[in-house]
Amino acid sequence: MKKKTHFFGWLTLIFLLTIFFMNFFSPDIKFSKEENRTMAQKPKMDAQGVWNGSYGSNYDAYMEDQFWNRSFWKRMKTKFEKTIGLKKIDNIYFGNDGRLIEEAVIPSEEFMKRRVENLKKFDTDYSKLNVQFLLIPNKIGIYYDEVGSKNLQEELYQKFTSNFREDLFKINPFEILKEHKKEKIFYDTDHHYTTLAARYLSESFYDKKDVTYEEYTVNDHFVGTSANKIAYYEHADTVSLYVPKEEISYYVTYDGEEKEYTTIYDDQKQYSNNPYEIFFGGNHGKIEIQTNAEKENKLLLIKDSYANSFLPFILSEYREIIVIDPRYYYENIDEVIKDKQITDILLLYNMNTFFEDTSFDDMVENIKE
Amino acid sequence: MPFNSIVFCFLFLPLTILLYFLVPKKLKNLYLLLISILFYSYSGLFNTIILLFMVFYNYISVRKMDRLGKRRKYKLIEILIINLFVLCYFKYYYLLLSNLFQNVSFKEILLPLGMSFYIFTIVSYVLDVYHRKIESEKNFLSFSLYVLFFPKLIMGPIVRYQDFKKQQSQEFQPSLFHSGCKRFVLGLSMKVILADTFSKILASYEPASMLGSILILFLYSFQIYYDFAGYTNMALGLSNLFGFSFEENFDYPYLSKSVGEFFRRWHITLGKWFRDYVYIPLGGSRVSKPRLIMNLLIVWLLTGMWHGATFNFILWGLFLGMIIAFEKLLFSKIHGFRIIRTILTFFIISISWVFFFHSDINDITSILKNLINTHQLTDLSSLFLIQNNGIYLIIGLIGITPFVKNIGKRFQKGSNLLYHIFTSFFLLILLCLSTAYLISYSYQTFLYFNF
Repeated sequence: MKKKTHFFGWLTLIFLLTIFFMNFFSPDIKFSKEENRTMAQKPKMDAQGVWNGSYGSNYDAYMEDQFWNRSFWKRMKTKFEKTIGLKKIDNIYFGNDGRLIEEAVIPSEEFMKRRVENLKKFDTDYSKLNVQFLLIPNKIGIYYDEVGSKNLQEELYQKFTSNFREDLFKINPFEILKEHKKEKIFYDTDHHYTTLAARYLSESFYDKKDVTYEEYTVNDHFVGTSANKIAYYEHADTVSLYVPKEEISYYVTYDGEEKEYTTIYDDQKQYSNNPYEIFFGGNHGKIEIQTNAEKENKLLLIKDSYANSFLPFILSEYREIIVIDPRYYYENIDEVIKDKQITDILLLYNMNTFFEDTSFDDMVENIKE
Repeated sequence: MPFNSIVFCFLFLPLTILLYFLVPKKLKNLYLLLISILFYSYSGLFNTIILLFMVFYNYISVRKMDRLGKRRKYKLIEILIINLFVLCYFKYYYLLLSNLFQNVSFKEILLPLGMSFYIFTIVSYVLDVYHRKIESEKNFLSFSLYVLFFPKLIMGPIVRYQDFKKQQSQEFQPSLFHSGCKRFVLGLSMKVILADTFSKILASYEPASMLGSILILFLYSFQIYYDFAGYTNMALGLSNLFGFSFEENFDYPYLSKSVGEFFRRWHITLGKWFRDYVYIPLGGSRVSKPRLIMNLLIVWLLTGMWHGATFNFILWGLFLGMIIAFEKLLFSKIHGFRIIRTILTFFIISISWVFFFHSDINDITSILKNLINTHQLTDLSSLFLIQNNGIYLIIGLIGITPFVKNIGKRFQKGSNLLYHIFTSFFLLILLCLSTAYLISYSYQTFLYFNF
């Protein structure tokens, strides 16, 4: 009787062996689109690695990355945790209507001190130019009530901006985005704001009211970084473009290369995994745009990826725009300002990147007199 | 190779079991020895050579000691000095140097995996032979397997030779195999679903209120229990697969009614080791009161140092030693108030874990200060933590009691077949979930790997 009722050992063995064989026979992948990173490959066995044990830890990493049906297992965990009532997994909250909301980045005092000093220095160094800063909240700054917290990001905004002259921050993006809270101003599954939100901010920033746009849908099955991070694939987003009816012409060059483009849109990215890259094909260290707008101003835009969907709305405001992303541009920015005879500087960041990434400080500290 | 790694679960383990069935009975022990060496070599050949040297040295020296007459005492001292020297060298030398000469940088010496455990295993064997409780082992294979047997090599339990010896070369036992698998899966899920989740919660949580500090105490208590008890379940389950069953290492310790009782139910094999090889030789409790206090403090100072040489472990050991001395002298005759005593014990133990987790005195005082912070009873992030992870805390709380086990027992009385179908189904779900957690959290080491 007793023998018949024991079978769990066989179940376990079958389970482990099945996964062993599936791991063994499934081909290794080099790059994971979902996780947006290169995956560990089978390590080469060498004497030193075996001696100090690093071969073993590399093999661990390899098996972990190449695990059979990796995304299925990750989805299972997220589904389970959502079912048992978790409202936040890793640093992502489940908001209302499928909104995935990334936690607000709160910088350390040390970080804050360095950043305030550098921005002050930058602002005084270029006090003869028209320097402006558009510091844009993330989803958490607008939909904080859905995660049952106070608005940490707006508190941070007030605290940070109070260190500088008032007119450095011409508009308050919190006010504008909150007005449009009921519209789709952020992607549900991605950490970016939508083109619509960029449009509202640009209209307010340049005081434009009567521009008419044509709306195009680029991709309606966009699954963004937040969803991929926790493997939560319940729904998808739509990426749209707003093209002004009276378009101006311009040409674009990337990272100092000679090739000129007559559009800022990269069609190839339309159906890619990250259709947000339709703007400029993603992030670049340096982009130069010459327009035929009847303006004299030359803009230096220092930015992160939030600027990519903002830029299409401001082309008609400048004769020339130099776009620098300090995360990928390491040269002395002062040379650009002098060479190009820049008249206006706009800093455009989303708050989470601005208070996490230190490349802004590196850039300012790198400016040589 | 840690038991909660993908390499172990989905490559090493299934193949090892499969081959174990195929190896003829006579060769099974040799097979287990070779597999154990392979298992250990994964953490580096250098460590393996040290381990093999220690096995070889102790085998020969103990054989020699056993043959000596009156002079065996000197041989014993030599063996103990060598073993403890090796352990202390790897465990404390670097720490001592880098603390003494803070301006000079030394090449870091890493403690070989499991050394604290295998040296203690060897020392128990040496002393038992010396006291003629057992005879020295003639068969080198048997002795090596005793030290190297992979399920218990890295984090215990610390098994006595007499308990190991009688189980070698046993027949495959189906019921032990099945219950071993159950135990392994249960242990794996305790580690990856609970302990790792608690560790993740703790990593991004800074308490700023009284409630926050209380939560921290619970989280530490749960994390360390599910980490180590989970590991021990895996170790004992794995031993079962190959026909061995060892002494338990945990017996629902958080239900203890005193700190002394707690440590008779927590990491039982280490507690017994210190009792038999340090406390009793010092005179145990049949001594004068000042001597008793002294004995307890020595044992607990050493227990603290066994965990690490940083001051927080020493503080941890002395704190517990004092509390246990206090209990022995003042409260040994108190009965009743069971629930209050259990809660109080839990509270004291969880405070002791604060020393365990923090080596910075400022961190320790800030947590302890918040515990009596009546100005700030709650804070938003603590309330959110309860709201969000409440379910894990409830599971954590249920899991430290025999509640589920008792329900199972009652169920088993009703229908044995139904019971097995139900538990197997439940554990299979746990196995799937553990795999999912294992893939989602990248590998998290065991806390006791550092000791």
